Amino acid sequence: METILICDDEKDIVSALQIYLKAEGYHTLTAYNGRQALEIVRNEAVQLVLMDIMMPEMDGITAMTEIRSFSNVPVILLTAKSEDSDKILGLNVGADDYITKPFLPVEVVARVKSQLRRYLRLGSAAPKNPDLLTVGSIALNEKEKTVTMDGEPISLTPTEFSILALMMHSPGTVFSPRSIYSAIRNENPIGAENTIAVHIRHLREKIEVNPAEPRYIKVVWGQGYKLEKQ
Amino acid sequence: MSNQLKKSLAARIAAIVAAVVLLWLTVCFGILTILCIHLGAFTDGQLSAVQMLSLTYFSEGDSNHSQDDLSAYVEAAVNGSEDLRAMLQKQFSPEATNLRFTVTDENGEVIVTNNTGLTEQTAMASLYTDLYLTTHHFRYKVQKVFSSYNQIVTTDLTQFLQSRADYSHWYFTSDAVNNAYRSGMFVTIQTMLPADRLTFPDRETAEQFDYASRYGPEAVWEIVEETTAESTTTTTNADGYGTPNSTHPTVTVEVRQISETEHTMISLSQYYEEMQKSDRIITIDDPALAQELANGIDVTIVGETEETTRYDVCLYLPPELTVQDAYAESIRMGELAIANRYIFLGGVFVLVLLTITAMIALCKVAGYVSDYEMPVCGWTHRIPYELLLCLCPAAGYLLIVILDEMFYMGFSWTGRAVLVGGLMLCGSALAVFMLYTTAVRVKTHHFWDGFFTVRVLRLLYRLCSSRAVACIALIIGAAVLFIANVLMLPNTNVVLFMLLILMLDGWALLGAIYCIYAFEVLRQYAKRLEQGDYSPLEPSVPLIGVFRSYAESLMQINAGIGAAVAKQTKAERMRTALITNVSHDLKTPLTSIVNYVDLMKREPVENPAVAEYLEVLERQSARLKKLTEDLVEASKASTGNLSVDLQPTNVQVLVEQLMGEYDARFAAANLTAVVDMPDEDLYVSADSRLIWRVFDNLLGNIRKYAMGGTRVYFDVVRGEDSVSFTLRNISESALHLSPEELTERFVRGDDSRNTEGSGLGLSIAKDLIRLQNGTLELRIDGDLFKAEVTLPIVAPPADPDMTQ
Repeated sequence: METILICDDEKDIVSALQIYLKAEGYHTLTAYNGRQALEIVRNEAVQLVLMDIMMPEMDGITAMTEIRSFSNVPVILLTAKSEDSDKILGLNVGADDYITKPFLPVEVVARVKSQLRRYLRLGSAAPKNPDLLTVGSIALNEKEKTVTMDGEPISLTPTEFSILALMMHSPGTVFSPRSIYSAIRNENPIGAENTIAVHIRHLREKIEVNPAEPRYIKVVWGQGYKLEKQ
Repeated sequence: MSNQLKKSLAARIAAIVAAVVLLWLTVCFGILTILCIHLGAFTDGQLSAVQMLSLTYFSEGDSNHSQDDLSAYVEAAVNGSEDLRAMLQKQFSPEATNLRFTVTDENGEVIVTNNTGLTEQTAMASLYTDLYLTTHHFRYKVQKVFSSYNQIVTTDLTQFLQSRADYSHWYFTSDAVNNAYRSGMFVTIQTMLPADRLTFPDRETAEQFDYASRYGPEAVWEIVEETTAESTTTTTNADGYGTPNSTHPTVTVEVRQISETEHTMISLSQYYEEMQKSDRIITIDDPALAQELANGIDVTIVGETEETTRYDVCLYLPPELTVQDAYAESIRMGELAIANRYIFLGGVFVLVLLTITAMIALCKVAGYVSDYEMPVCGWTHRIPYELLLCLCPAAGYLLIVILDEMFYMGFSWTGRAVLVGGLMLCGSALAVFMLYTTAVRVKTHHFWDGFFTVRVLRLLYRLCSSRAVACIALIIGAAVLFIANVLMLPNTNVVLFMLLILMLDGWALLGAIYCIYAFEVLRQYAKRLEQGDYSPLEPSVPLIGVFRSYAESLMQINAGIGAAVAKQTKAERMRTALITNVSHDLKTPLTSIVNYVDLMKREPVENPAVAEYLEVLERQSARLKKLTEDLVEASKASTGNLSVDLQPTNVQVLVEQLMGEYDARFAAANLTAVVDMPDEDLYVSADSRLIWRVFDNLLGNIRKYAMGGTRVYFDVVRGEDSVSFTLRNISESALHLSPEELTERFVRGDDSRNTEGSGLGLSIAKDLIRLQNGTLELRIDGDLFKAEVTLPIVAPPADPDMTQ
């Protein structure tokens, strides 16, 4: 059973998270500041760290930088700040994911599972498949027409698959609905381009942990859609 | 030095006296040392008569043996002037003076000497000089009179021609002749061909002969020989036979032809030269002049001739100085000086040190008056410094003049010593006084005040600070300058005046340039303030007078604005920080609430009421969450702290995306969306994230508050330079508020506040649209709710389909 370290200066939050994770069958350790978290990661075997950013004595970012100097353990940051810059900072210094407070317990669990899957199952042992397109946790095989999320297969309609494949070829590029429409209509004749939005919405609901706050497929309002580079 | 001592009168007097005396002694010793050096005391170590003689020459002894006298004596001796010589001989007799001299001519012959008994120069030294005593020029006047012209021509002409070279000046009593001599006279010169001789039997034939036809009209003929009687002469030849010669009376005429006639101006001497030539006939044009020259001329000749003879004068002193004259005294003085030379030299160094100490003491003591603690500036020290400064060089000049004069009068050495000493004392006193007054002025910080010019300048400066006075002064000054320039024009020969005017012109020009510079500086500063640059003003040349006051006003404004801006920025920053912190602090307990409510929901509960209560808790905490998020956003949007990234936004794409989001939700709320868009490709300038927020809010409101079963109209219309997006719907409940009230923060259309929503939405939306340079207008007509968003039109991007 995997061990997860929960670190937050709010005891209530820590105990709540403990309850959730224990219910999923994980073993948990707790810490209430960065220094304690460091100690635990150094001395114990931990497979995932849930860490708050704003903590006394040593904040989450510093602690995580320290952890990264000797360990690759996945770290998910719990942040109350919803600024993009903070998120980017967190990810830049080595966090694997982030969750904003207040969070839905479901989301926390989903992300924990996703990170663990990646860490334990995928890793560098998996052979590189030239047909495989990967962006973040998504792996798409064009030949076989399969899509997996942290290894777990996802079922998409052909239209949705085509759209995802198109976008995964160029992550970060903004595709206008018109260009998506013209790119996929040869393979999948569909009604009209104004249904692209609907398809995107469905795709989002299937892939994203929290469709209301998408990580992968982002809408660039008035221009199109893009697949965010991870 | 203790304070009490410092301030006492005794201390001051002592310091002053000490300073004066020491300075005086230093100067005197210094002079003596210089004298020793001049005498070569430090190089030879002993006195030589050479130096003594030169010293005495320079210093000039009594009139018994001045060098002018010696020179006169020599001259008298050479020229044979017995009276003068006798008179001077007494002066230079061996009993009268120690000075010995020998005058020899260039051959070495002794002309005159007063050195009786000494055959060799066994004197201490000899001094050759041909500098002062060589006879150089003799001048004399010669008067010679020539009384007849004939004499000049025939007899004394040679004299004239020869002596011409000797005498540089001839003076003729007659003016006409003088003029002729100096300027020349007009003559006619006729050159003759060689004479032809004609023989005529008698005179009449000779006279009647037509010479003109044969020789030309200008021929000149002359009877040169005339034989009248017949005469028989016998010429006997060698063998004794006689031949009778009978001659007839003949008249021989010499005829001359004129070959050349010249009319020219020649000088008198040239005239005489031409006269000499036999083949010339000269006629003077001016008959009066010709007459005069023929009669004879009186000539006064004044000439100068130089005769240089060199005489060598040898001066020396005998080893034994028997006579008590100036030389003996000088030598005694010199020996005294040389004997004590090291004392003088050492004395100078010591005295210099002492003097410096005294000066320092004087400075320390200067200015104190017994009663006061601090030095006081007495009236003497208020005398304008310029006067004192002028006094010094004036006094110095006077000193030098007096010394100069006195030395050339007959003063004995004692006399000279007293004179020099006295003058040096006065000089020292003056110097000490200058030092004292300078020290007092500096100590009482009145140094610059002491300058009259400085005071005047300060007054002028103060006057200039007052604008009225400055303007008047400027006008008057300009008028004066103009008038002065006008006056200067005819008076350019008064150099001082011209220089003054030029200087004033220069000052005026500088002033004008400065004014222009100052204006420019002020203008730039004002411009900077206008553009919001609050950096301080630092002109390279400082501003004075009125310009300074303007600059200061501007700087005050600057400071005021700067302070206000800083305060506002600080206040804003504090508020943003406050809101951020508050919302952060709210999120933490909120997280726990959400989590534990969720946990509770998972627990099995029998009481159905509990489930209902939990629903309420869940709903309310969701509202709370939305509220805290909106709070931060509202604050940022209203202060403009949001980073806005305006990009060309495709209207069609935007509307389709929005509808894509809200189709299902509208359907769930039983609302039908009717979209009307123009067909063309339209682009507006908007930030993609913010525009979504705005429409999310508006569409969300519609979803919440529209009456079920009604239609929602979404119209997009292209205007002149903007696009309007209009959303219309029928409200579920009555709207009692005006649009302005609705957009107020925390005001909600739903009075009961049952539905979710924080009330910040519209206010945020309005601010967000404003940040994108667009407008949001709400209109309420009964139950009809209309929201109109306008955004500026923008050109389509280069590559609309693929953008990064």
